Amino acid sequence: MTLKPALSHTRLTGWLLDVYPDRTGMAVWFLDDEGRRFRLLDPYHPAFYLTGPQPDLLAALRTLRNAPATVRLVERRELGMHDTMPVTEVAVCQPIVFTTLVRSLIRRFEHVQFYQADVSLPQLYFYDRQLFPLARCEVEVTSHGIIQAIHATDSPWDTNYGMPPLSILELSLEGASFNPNHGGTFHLVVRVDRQERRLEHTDHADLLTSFNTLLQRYDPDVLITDWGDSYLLPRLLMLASQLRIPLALNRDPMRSVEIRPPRSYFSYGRILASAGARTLYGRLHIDRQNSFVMAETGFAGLIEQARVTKVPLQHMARTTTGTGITSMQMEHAHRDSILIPYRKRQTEEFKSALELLHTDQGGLVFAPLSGYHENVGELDFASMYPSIMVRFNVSPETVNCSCCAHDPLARVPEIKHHTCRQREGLVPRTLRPLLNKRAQYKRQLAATADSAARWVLDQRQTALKWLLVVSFGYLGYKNARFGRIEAHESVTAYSRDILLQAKESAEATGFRLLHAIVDSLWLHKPGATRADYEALAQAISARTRLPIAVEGLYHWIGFLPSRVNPRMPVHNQFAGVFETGEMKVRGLEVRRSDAPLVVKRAQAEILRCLGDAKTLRELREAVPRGIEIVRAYRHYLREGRARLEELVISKSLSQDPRSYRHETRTAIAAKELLGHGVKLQAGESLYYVITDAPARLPHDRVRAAATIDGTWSYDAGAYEQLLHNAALAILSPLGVESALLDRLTSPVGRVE
Amino acid sequence: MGRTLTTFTQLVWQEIDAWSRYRRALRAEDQQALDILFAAARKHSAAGAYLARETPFDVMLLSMLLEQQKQVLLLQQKVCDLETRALPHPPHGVAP
Amino acid sequence: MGEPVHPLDDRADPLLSALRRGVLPLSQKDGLMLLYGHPAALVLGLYAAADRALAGEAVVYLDGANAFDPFVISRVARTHRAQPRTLLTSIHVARAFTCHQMERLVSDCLATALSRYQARVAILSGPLETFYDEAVSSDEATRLLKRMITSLQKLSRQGYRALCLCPSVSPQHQNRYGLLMRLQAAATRLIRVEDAEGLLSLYEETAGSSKQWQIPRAVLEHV
Ligand SMILES: [Zn+2]
Repeated sequence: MTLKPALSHTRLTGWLLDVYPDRTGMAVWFLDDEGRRFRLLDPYHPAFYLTGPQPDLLAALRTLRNAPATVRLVERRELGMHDTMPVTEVAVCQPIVFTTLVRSLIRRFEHVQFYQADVSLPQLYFYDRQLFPLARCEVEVTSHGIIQAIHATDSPWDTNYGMPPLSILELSLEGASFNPNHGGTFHLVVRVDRQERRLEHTDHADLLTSFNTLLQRYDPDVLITDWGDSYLLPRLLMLASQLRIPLALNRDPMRSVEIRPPRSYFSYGRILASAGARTLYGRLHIDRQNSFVMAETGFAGLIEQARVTKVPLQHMARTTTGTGITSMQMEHAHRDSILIPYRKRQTEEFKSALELLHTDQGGLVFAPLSGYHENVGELDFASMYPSIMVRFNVSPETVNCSCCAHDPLARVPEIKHHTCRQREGLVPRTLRPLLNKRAQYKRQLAATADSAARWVLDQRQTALKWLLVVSFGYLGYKNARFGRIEAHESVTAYSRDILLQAKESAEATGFRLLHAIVDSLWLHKPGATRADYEALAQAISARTRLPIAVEGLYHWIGFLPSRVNPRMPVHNQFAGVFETGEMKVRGLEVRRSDAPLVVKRAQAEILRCLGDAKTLRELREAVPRGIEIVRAYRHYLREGRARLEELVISKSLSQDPRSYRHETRTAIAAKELLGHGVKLQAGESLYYVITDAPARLPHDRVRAAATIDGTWSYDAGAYEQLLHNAALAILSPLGVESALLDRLTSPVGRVE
Repeated sequence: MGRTLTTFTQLVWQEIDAWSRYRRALRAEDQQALDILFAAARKHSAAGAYLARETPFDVMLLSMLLEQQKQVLLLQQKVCDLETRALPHPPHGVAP
Repeated sequence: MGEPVHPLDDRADPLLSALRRGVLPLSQKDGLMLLYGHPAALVLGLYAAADRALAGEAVVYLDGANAFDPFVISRVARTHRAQPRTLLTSIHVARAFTCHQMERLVSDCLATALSRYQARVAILSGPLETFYDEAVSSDEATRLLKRMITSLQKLSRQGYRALCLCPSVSPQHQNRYGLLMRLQAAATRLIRVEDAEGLLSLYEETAGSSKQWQIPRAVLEHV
């Protein structure tokens, strides 16, 4: 599939598929308008920079004498500095050795400062060539496939961009509803060209051969799998090496499949698992089960994120959203000749303990007035934190700048920081186009009726929403290259002041604040119409100069009390019905991954039944029907009719499974799987069924879902209790006490 | 970079914890009254957080007083309503 | 200088009294002092800061354990009939969330801060916690720690005192135990903190000394 010499010196138009470092430049995979795939080579020389004490610098440069690199002195700036400074630029002629070269220098010369030393090379290539993943391009190539010139003909900021005609092959497992690594036998299912094939070979060699045949016949650009990273590809590759049948997974025949092992890591106080990765060259492998972006925003969202962030598709699918935001900031810095530090060394400024008391705060949360309310309106600030960063110019280099220290308009409310009024910071410059593009998508969404088009627009705007959401966290993230505590503190200080302004505006016009969380307010005013809420939103927008919109008007909304202590208000549990009939639910079982399907389904049914009510009176009248649903589900559970997939509870392993000291259900299920030889890591999800909750022997209490076959039974009482709790959360504020609910739904006497 | 300081809501929980021996030795009905007081402190955690005072228990006490004052006003209103209704010359049938 | 402004009542604050008998008030010969062992060491650091603030001194406090707690300082102030605000204003805090930040705070910012606030005491709360991050190689962590120790020793030669509080290395970071040993070797005074049967015991491990103090565990319960 490489370029045929017969093509001679030519100009191609088409799409950029994949880029990675190679021996004498970057390998560039190109899909031209005639549907041909080419592997081209761009003789690109990525650079890094160094400064430091003269002797160390000279010593470092001496070691580069025999390296494939060219060295020159250039002028660059550090973030927040007015003046440029001379730094040594080292351009590496063999991109494939870039990383090893830089790392060995970093290890040897501790007094030398490195810049742009660990930016991923495809990203750096994109920044330098002003390209991006799946860009529409024109490229001039020599007869040997060497790129003479390449440029994008569309922009990552276009909202109506065309998609390359990608050929996609899907690979999944039939019969795997949980993590296949936990056990079970499955069939390989291949979907390509609108056809589905089940590969039912008992002989492994035949299986590999027919899979290879499919790969060769369809030559897919994208391989989309379920469990490809942790299960499918590792096993296929292992078989291939055992049987010595080369597997044609990679398009680039000179490369082998890239392997990253699984690991567990801490993030925001939680332990998370990364399933490892199997990535390809010249072809893109995306594992649906190992991709946050795919799960949240689908393929269209993944492509949107890759385009605007310039992070290659395979990496974007697997990395954190923060990597995307960082990449955008690095590109802005690179474009403005600002040095990208290798390690963040920005420290917190000293402040008195009293000041810390005021700065170390998050957004404001007004505890809800518990119970059900009717005629409620919700107002949301659109992307509040990023909007604050743009509107008030909050960025690591603009907070507490030296030029505006005495400008009263630069002051951050309540705390002793100020932000620059002279020059726009890197973070606002990065976020402004994102905010604009998302607003554009939302406008298009409002004007589009076609459901397929709406689907794509919604995935794209959601993809941008996630980038905006993490942009705030990254301002305060310890490893963020362009983060700074004081910037983070300034944003939350502004947000508190703005929420209070909104509250004041609402109260001044007769609204009552029922509840507020950081950037959303739930308000009530007897007889208020949509127009009243719209007018309020406009008044708040005018006052704060931040966009706020009416999220919707509720027929009713219930702020549900804490289950542990009913008197204590909690802010993350509510259910409401908009005038459109659409429901909004937070914190209940229907939204929780650890609730079994049967409980979720019952709760959703109760909510739907209550959702028909338009007033509090109707809501109370609907209660008996809700209770009837609970009764029917209890009956169903008690009769033993519930199926495995309705009963499975999924819990995340909070630690290494061998270090559990107590016999929690998760620990018991983990031990069972370990006993079957399954490898588990902290942070991954476990799936189990409660078999006999009060059993004396722990292993009788629960069973791992993957090991269940043949005869088994579940603990109906335990599931009835879960059902009871889920129903009570909704019904108790409507006057249904626990004992009453139990009595009214008891299956005793109804089942023989 | 996670928050360093205890949030106001957590401070309320800490305070509840610190008074647990006191609570244990109260009669059941008094325990309930105490719980209502602490729930009042929790209700105004937004104001407590925004004030960010170095001695948070003062703020909790004021929140408790505030809820008590609301109760007093509510009861006053009720008494007032009852007294109006008990007047010797009622106009024709004021709905209760 | 250094004498408590507020005369101390032992019964009112047994924890601070115990600290004052053995550990405080950080005289110049203490130089680089290390309290290690039980996690309550971090709380002792807060008390030490409050003690110096009560004495009218400014304190520089580096928080590497994300555990600074102004409310403990407030409570100490109230116990000693001082204004919480006064104490909180004389303690100057900076936090480190990575070992690179910690090293930089100590090597590049600490001397300036000590002189700006006219403080003589620096308290380093959990200075090694950020060095246990697996994302940083063991070699790099060691290199940074060496630099940090050199800077601390330099400050102590200039007459400043540094009090480091290091909770024990948790089992999952045992491979980084050498870092604590390095800091121990560099310390001029070494005190082990242990919890035994409701008592918090402090053992002086400085060469040529074998003092020991005990603090009832109960006094730590509500901090
Ligand atoms: Zn400025």
